[in-house]
Parts: sequence; structure tokens; C-alpha cells
Amino acid sequence: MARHIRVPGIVDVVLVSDPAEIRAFNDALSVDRNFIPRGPLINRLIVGRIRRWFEIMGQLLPSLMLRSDQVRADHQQKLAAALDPAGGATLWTDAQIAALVAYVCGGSSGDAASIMTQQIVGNLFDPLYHADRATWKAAKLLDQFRDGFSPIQIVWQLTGQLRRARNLLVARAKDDRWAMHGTAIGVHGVVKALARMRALRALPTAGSLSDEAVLWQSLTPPKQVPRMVEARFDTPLVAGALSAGTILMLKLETAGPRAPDAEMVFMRGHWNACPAHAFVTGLLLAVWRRSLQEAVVA
Amino acid sequence: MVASFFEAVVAAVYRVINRRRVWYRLPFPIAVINLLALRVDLRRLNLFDTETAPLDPPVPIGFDVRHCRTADGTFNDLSKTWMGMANARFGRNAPLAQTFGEQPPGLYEPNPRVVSRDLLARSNFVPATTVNLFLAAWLQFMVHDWLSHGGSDRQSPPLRFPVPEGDDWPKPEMTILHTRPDHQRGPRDEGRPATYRNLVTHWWDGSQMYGSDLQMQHCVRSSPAKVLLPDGKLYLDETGHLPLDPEAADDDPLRELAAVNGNWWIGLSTMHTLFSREHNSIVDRLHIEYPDKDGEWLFQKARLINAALIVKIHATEWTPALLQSPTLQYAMRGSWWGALGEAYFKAFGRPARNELLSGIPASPTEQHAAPYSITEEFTAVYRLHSLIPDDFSFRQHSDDKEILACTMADLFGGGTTKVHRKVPFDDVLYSIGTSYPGAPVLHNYPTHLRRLPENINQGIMTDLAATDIMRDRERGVPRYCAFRRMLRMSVPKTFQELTDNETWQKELEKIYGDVERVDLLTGSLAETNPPGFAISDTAFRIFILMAGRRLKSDRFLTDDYTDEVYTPIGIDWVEQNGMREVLLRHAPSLGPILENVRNSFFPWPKSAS
Repeated sequence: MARHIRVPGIVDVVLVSDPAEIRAFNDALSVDRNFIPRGPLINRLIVGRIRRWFEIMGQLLPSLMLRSDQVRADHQQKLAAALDPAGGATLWTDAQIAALVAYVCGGSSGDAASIMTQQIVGNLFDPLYHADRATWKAAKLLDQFRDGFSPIQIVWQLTGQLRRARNLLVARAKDDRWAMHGTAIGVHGVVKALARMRALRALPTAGSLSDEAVLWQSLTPPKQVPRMVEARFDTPLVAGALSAGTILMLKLETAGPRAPDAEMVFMRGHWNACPAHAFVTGLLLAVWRRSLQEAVVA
Repeated sequence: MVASFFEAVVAAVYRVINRRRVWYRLPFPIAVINLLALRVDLRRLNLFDTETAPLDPPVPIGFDVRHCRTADGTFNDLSKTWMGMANARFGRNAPLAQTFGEQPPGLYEPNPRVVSRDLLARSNFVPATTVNLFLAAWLQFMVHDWLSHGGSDRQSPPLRFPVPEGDDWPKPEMTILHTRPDHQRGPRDEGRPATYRNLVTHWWDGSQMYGSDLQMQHCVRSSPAKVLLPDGKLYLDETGHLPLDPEAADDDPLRELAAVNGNWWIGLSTMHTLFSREHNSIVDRLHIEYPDKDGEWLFQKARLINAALIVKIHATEWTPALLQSPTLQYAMRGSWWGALGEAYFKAFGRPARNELLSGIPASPTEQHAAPYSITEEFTAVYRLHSLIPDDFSFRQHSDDKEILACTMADLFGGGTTKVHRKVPFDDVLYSIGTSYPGAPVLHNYPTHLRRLPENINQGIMTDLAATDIMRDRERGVPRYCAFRRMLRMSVPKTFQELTDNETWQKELEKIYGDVERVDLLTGSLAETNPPGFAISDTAFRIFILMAGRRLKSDRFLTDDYTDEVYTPIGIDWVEQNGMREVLLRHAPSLGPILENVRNSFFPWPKSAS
């Protein structure tokens, strides 16, 4: 059952980690991504943090936009079609795959593979996108910041490190919110999957893994995503009603092992389905299949 | 909340300790708490539900689901009424992403026949001398209660692999049918690992005797003329034996009738006979106390009581015999009587509804991280065919004189009836109680099980050892190292770390090449066991998780283990009886032999000739 942490005036957050409960909350009409400061103190701080760091020119990144936002919905549909390898578009080059295969087979460094992945993702939005060590470092910092609060983040903010990282990524994405989401946030799912794939490829049992086994042992959902309650909401999933302004933290990573499928990782079949689903699985399978033809570097 | 916080802290402390020292190398009291800490983590991290869209069963009309077990296991959990029912899916102990079945070519590597022949096949019988053959018979009796994958899949093309050159297998290729698939997968299962359904109830409810559907239940309660016995008893013939199965195959007409009578042999026959007689004794006792109650009521109450007695015998006698260490003796008996022990319980009763203090019975029902189900990993670690001997001798309990010598192949199916016609029941019990089972180690897989006549008319044979290997690979049970990894156990990097036996190290290395490839079954049989244990520590981890769970998830063994549901006579019957009492009630002539036997699953003394 979801855990409701509520101290009047201080905090009102529900932690949801069961796949069925995540599904139910995600689809509930009283729950949305309308991040306006309201509710108790900590709720306001969380919303403030989201708006401050994940907005570009007053607009939130696509993964934080409202369910009813038509621009988001249209873009989501167009992107899903454009990023589907079955559509015939060239989404990656042979040389890029070879670089990732080298990493999965035990050669090359994690950073090189990560930069290459960021480059591939960036090119989906802008053929001239340029990823380098600095953009990858910036993306890592932003990802750590997004994952949850830790005291070191105060230092990042005080020293301007976080602001510089964000500004660099925004500049490279040329203020495109979808490119920014892909190269700063979404890319980490692929990079982590490649690292797990490398561990799987090193096993002598690698040859017995099916494509699905490789995908779902490699891919994991993001750690958590926030939602906000829009109107008073009675649910059997928590004791007592939820009120407007309650923040729901959908803990996808915790739920992942119980639902290793496209629904939990990409929210497939839901209003907020990730448009990069086909791209990510296609890329990973291309790398895996080719890696099986290469020898593992001891 | 406080308890769970405390449990979490203890579990975290032991995670650190266990990095340096495994639980059985710790001093007694610390090791006991370590087991509890392991169980906390296992309950949190190793229970996975595979159901995606279970359907609620219809409410049975005219049946008291609150106070009696339904035939098909529905309505045990009153919020998820489908939980644990017959035909519900097997759950998993491994995270679901790790449970995709293996694919060719890795699926066949190393060749299962080679593993069977060179690592598992029995060369000389290695007995387990600390226990008797009842241990093996009981285990199979229990497994038939908990799980059945049903007959194999005859529609899909079978698994095929070559038989190595020089092998004495009659054909150049070995074929193994796939496990029966789950035909009820829906859109939500798309892309997920294969699932399989348990044809019997998942609950510890005696379904191997009482059936997993109403039709079978009525069958075992009816005379050969198909008349339901009005007194609530199970039908036994005039000699107190099980009747013959009217549906038995033409080539096996003497097979006895039981709700689950597959893989039937003398050990199973004996257990079914013994506990069918026990059911009827319970009915007699209840009838004295409640003369106005009808046969249906008597049957349902006797079933509840008999099933709970079986659970108690398993927890407090069978398991301590299998795992002979002071820590386990205390822990397993504690699961029934609590930390304060049997003596305190018998003097003062249960002090609280607390699992640790008073044992699991009558404590609150809990499902932990997933709805209750038997799991595929549990099925895998219970592959203990090595317990079965190849040869058997029936002897008189009065003077130990041999009545009949035969091979185990003679004791399968209807062979049991032939034995019962030649050997009195008390002597059958005596013979089993004084015989050793095989030890679950490498090179001790029964010879006859590696050459079973599956369909003798078509010349189809089964090598059960090779089939066991293939089943784990096919069902996506992780191999040995991956299995230990998912249980957060240390993982051997070399064959030397896997087993102390130098010969086995070389043999394993020759066949597997890399320790990561070792199959779960082979690794578990090769592993150096904890002191006093008849099974590996790897298998034991699943065991401590699932042993408690079978009780803790079951309303009739927790919330509803009460006088109201069982009757005061029923609770008393469970608490005052054990295996020895059951044996003596139905075979009183064994009294002198059992007099000094501390545990009925320990070897009985032989009568002086």
C-alpha cells in the first residue's frame, strides 16, 4: 500500500511503489502534472525546485507538462512516429553502433559510450548537436539533482555549478525542450541499460538470453516521477482522502522488478507514454545482437 | 511500524555481518536472529506476483467459505478471493526480468544428457544415514499438495538435443516435451516472461488427498458404487487401504485412488493411507462431540484439522530431521510454538498473537510483498529425486525377517497394490522407517528414474535427471550463480569455491567450463552443505522464505486458526498429536519400535531377529 507522509503545514506526500497502484494513480483524472506552488511547505519547495530547474523560457520540460496540454500530446505523437526505427529514418550510424558495441563487449570507457549515446540522442532533434565531456558531465549532475535531495546539492547551487550545467545543456539543445529532455534526462536510461548489458555480455550464459530477457534485464524505469493531486480525491490505495496539492511520488525504479515491461519503463499504453520507446529498444537490440558476434574483451 | 523499523534495522546489521561470515558460522543465538533477518529481506525482495488480470471466482452457493476450505482454494484470502486457487499462476522468487526462459543455443549448453550421465547418475547408492525413507515419502506427499505443472505440452515441438556418442540411450537424439504453457495470457502479459499455472491449490490444505476441485473431492469421499459416504469419511476398503482407481490406465489397473496419484510409489501410498485413516479418526472424534452435525460438516472440519496436523508435523518434525542443526531445530519448532518453546506453550498457551513470541499459527495473516503463490524457484529447489533408493526390502516388524525384496521400479503405480497384498501395512511402515533415503548429492540420482518408460509401447523413454535440468532452463529459473546472486548470497568464482570435493571440482569444470554456467540443480547437489543439513544453503534460503509463507499467508493457519473455526476438539487434536501419534493410532503394533525414537523421521531401530 502507498505510504502517505503527512504533517499538517509541513508536508503532504504519498510514496507509491506498487505497479498496480502506480498505474491507478497515473491514470486517475484527479492526478496531473500541474506543478503550481500550493499545499504545505515542503510541497511548495518541491514544486519550486521543479519549476526553477526544469523550465526553459517559462515552459516545463515535456515530461512535466499537463495531461491536457495539446502541444505536448501532438508532439508526443509526432515524435513516436519519427523515432520508430520501423519508419525507415536513419536514427543512428554504423560507426555509432560499433562504438557502443565495443563498450558492451568490455572495451572503451563508460564515459565514451555515454557521450556517444548523448550524441545519438541529440542528433535525433538536431543533426548538428554536439555532445562532449562537458555536456555529459552536466547531464550527470542534473540527473543526480533530479533523483532526490541531498545536502551536496546546496553546494552545487551556491557555487553556480548546477546553473552552469543546466545552461550548457539548454544552449546545446538550442532551447528545444524535447531535445533538452532527451539529452539531459532520457539519455540516462539508455546509458544505464548499456552498462547492464555490458555485465550481461560478460557472462558465459549470454548466448541463452532472449531479446526480451536482455531488454528487461537492462532497462529500468527512472527512479521516481512526481504528480500532483488536483482536487480532493478518495482512493482505496491510501488511508483517508487526498487533497489538492498533495504530491505523489511514483517510485518507478522500486516497482520495476515487479513489472519488467514497457508499461513501467516507458508507460506504454498510458497518456504519458514515452515517445522514444521504439527508438530505445531498437538501439539496444541492435547493439546487443551485434555484440554477440564480437568477442568479449577480458 | 515500530516492528517493521526494528526488523529493517536488524536486517541491515546482518547484511553487514553476513558479508564477512555466513549465518551458520555464527554462535547459536546470533545465528537464530540472523535467520529472522534473512527472512525479513527475503520477504521484502524475493516475492513476485506474475498474475496480471486474475478473475474473481464465483461465490460458492450454500458453502461456508468463512469457516471451511473450499475444494479449489478460492476464498482463503477474502479480499483477493482468487489467491492460491487451483489453476492460479506460479509466482516467482527471482525479479521478473530474470525469469525469461533460456533460448538456444545456450538452452542446451552443456548438454543435459551429459550432465545427467556424468554428474548426476548414481554409481553407488549414497544413503542419508541420519533420516529414514519416510523423509522422502513425506516430501513427495507435500509436493503433491503444493504444486503440479500438469502433463507436458504435446502440441508444441519438443526440446531436442543430440545424445553424445557412446551413450547407452536407445536413440541418437533426446526429446523432452515443453512444460504445459499458460493459455490464459492477456495483453498485459505481452513481452513478459512465460508464466505457468499450478493445477492444484497453492495452499497447504491437503489437496493431494482432498482434491483441488469438487468432483475429485466427491470421488475420494465415495464408495466404488459412486455413493457419497454420509458420515464425512474418506473411502477406504475393508482392509483399510485406498480403493483402486476406476480411471486407471489399462496397463496399470491396480493403481490406487487418491486425489493426486501421479508418480505413485509405495511411499506415497503409505502416506495417503495413513492420513486418510487419520481423517476418519478425526471424523469419529468430532462425531462424539457433535452428534447432531451432518457428514458434510464433519468432513470439512476433519479436513481442516488433518491439514493443520500435517503442517505441524512438517514444521516441527520433518524439517528438523532434514536440517539437523541446533539453530534450525529451534527456529523451525519456533515457527509453530514461538520463541518461548513447546513447553511454555503447552503449560500456558499462546501469550500473544505475535509471530516471534507465539509462532505463526493464530498470528495475523500477512502476504508481504506479493499475493501468496507457490513459486517456480521453490519448485526448482525441491527437485530432490536423489532421496529415492533403487532397491527395497520389506521386512517383518516382529523379527526383521525379509518378506519381499524388489527394485523401486516394482513399486511404482499398481505395484503398490501388489505389495499391500503381500505385506501387512504395519510391516510396510516398519520397512520404510528402517530404510535410508539417498543423500541429495552428485552421482546419486536413482538409476530407474533416468530411464523411465514414459510410453513403453512407442519406445519413448524419459531421463528424469536430464528433464530436471531442462525444466529449470526452460522456465527461466536462474542458474546456480545467478540464483545465489538474486538471493544476495556470496557467489563462487571458481569450482574450488563451489565445493570442497576435489573430484567433483574437476568433473564440474570439465563439463561446465565456467562456474557461471553451472545449473541450479547441479550446483545445489555439489555445494558443501551447512553442518547437519541434508540440503544446500542455496536451497535453504528459498526454504526459509516459503516454509513460513505457506503458513503466514493462509487465513486458516493464522487469523482463523481458532476454536470457532476448528472447534476446540480440532485445535486440541492438532496441538496434542504428531507423527508418532498418527503412526501408533493406525499401526499400534509398532509401539515398542517407536518407543525410543525421538523423531519419526530419524532411522527406527531394527527388531531383533
